[in-house]
Amino acid sequence: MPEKIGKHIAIYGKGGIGKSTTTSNISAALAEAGYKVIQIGCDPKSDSTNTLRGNNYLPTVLDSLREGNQIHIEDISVSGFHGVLCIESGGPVPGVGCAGRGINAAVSLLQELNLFEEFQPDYVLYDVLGDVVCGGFAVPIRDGITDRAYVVSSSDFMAIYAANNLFKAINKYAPTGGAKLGGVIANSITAGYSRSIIDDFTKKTGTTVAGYVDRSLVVQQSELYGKTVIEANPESEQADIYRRLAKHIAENDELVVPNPLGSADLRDWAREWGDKIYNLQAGVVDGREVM
Amino acid sequence: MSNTLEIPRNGCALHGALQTAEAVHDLIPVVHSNPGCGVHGHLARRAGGTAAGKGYQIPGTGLMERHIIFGGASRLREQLKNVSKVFEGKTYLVLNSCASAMVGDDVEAMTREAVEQGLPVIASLNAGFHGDVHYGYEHVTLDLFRQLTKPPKQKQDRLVNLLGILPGRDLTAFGDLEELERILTGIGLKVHTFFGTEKGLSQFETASEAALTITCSDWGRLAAEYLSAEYDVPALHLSSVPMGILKVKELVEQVKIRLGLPEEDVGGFLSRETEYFDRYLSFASPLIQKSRYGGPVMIVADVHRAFQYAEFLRIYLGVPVQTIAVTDSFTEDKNLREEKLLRLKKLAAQVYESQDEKEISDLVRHAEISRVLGSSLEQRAARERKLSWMGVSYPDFSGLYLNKSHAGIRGAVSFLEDYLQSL
Ligand SMILES: Nc1ncnc2c1ncn2[C@@H]1O[C@H](COP(=O)(O)OP(=O)(O)OP(=O)(O)O)[C@@H](O)[C@H]1O
Ligand code: SF4
Ligand SMILES: [Mg+2]
Repeated sequence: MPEKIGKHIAIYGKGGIGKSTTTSNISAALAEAGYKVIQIGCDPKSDSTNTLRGNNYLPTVLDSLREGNQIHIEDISVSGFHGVLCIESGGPVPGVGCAGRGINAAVSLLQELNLFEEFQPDYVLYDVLGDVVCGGFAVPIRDGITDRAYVVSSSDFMAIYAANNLFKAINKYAPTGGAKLGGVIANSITAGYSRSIIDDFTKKTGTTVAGYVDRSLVVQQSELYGKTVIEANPESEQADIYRRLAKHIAENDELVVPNPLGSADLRDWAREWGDKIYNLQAGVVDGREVM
Repeated sequence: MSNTLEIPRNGCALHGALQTAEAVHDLIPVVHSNPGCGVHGHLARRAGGTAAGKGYQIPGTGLMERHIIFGGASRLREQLKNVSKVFEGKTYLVLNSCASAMVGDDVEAMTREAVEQGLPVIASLNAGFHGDVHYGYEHVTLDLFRQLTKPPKQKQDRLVNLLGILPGRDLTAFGDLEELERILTGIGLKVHTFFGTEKGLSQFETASEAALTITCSDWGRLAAEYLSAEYDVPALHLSSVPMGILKVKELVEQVKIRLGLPEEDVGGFLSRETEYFDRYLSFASPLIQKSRYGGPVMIVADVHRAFQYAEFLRIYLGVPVQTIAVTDSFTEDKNLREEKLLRLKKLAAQVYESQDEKEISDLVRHAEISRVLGSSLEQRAARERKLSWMGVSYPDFSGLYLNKSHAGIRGAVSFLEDYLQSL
């Protein structure tokens, strides 16, 4: 594999957890800070870069591949907020074919088209679909395409479960040149204990939190305008949260191979937290120590 | 899962289904796979003796990466149209492969669509990962009966179906089918052999009219049970391909009872066959008894063939069988499996189950034997010890099998020739 141009970062996480929102805001913040950024949506929904390009139409890589014409980078990319180059891998019609292989093919095609040599990015962000369900979706962290992955998680059990699954995939592939973990992006932080849950999970798995992103109406409002928070509400506290997160991700070079919890351990761990939260709400005093 | 198999001698389920379907006259298999699945099975058989000299003319969809990503169903639709122009007036059988099964191509929907447009298309989905060639044979025959067999116009009390001999796998499949047909015709029956006959397709259609299905191995059971459940065709399960006069008499006797045949229909035939068999046996057996031909042997073969050869050697030639290595997976029916193992152990001092070249070759290296009846994969180990070797199972790299038989009476005589010559 030739010397990589720019830092290649994969963002994973359970479906609907806020991957695309977070990734787009990181891209926007990096671009605003003067970096050259490419964001590649690795998701058949092809909605990753919507808020970077004001919801403008963008043909996906696989749409072009399906038509079988010669493909040029201009046909499958569009320049968004502060010049972020937006690309969507796309995928097959739902229920048909193999999306995992599709993402793989799209990313390979971008390499063949010399995208990185021509654009000379500082950062390339891959927003990868939902859970790591099969080998296809692990490709961005497996084949040396990216060297670091972040996982977006809330304090919900299913989000943590998905994060733990990603840890398993990283754990499996890292020894043979796969990506390592940069950290966990704690998203939609609300109730007092949600931070503690994520902190505890990262401690148990030998990982760290890259940043805490509050649950905020500004995010949804910006989305409705078809924009990132950075663009729509640049002065807001939420924009600063994303800027700090982006800075951390840009500068952090401490990558780890996580120690995922086994299924039974994860279940026990979750149950313990269930008890703690119950006691807390029922007013049992020594539940406080968890805060 | 964690065990490795060296040169496993069994192709995949698709290969089994394909080689079986190829043996049905007027049935055109269409392989819905990436390039290579069909042709590699063919090349293996060409080297292994059961498709020697034959060209490869099987239509296929030749799936590429884009079909894996976006689905290959429309490629199949297109290919069925093309095939119907090249091979007019035939019936088409779609077979799928690992790749097309894993991406979930809806082959059945494509088949229905083609049927609605008036094309005679059926499908049998035995993607390679389901199992090996035996699984492929078992399930493709079942599917052919399911999709081709019509309710009986009229039951025929002298018609029998013959199943359980695997084309492309059993070296002597076609010759054996011909010989067994000759014997059953000799006692006044009509026989559906399905494979290797020009009437193959119509035999599948009218299999429901038969009075009996005879299976020569467990691999025919599934289809026989279907015919029994669906069309009341009773089944007679044999554990091996009948060979030599005793086994032939046994078969004829059982069929006679099942179909209520009068004694005069079978008596004359059997005595002529007995005389024929004895005449040739009398040439061979003195040669064997007084020479080193009579030493202990090892048999490497699928279970129905292992029974066949072990019993024959013992009964007629007095040759002891020291070791048997069974190369197909036994039936999953536990009782049936136990019973088979027990019976094999009565025939040989040691019985192993293995498909692994290395493991079997090591058995050859260490067994107390003077010759090996097996496949070419054991030939090297046999040569190391200067043991004589004879090809009785797939693959046989030096063999060419058209309609040679080792079954019935004439096949048994031809086996005697081969046995004596192979030294
Ligand atoms: N910190 C937050 N505060 C408020 N809303 C948020 C926050 N993060 C994400 N959301 C909202 O959650 C919804 C889902 O987010 P997003 O589309 O980014 O998730 P995703 O993980 O990319 O989903 P998918 O798996 O479907 O691609 C969006 O409507 C988004 O506005
Ligand atoms: S095992 Fe699968 S991929 Fe291999 S030849 Fe058979 S069907 Fe094709
Ligand atoms: Mg998304």
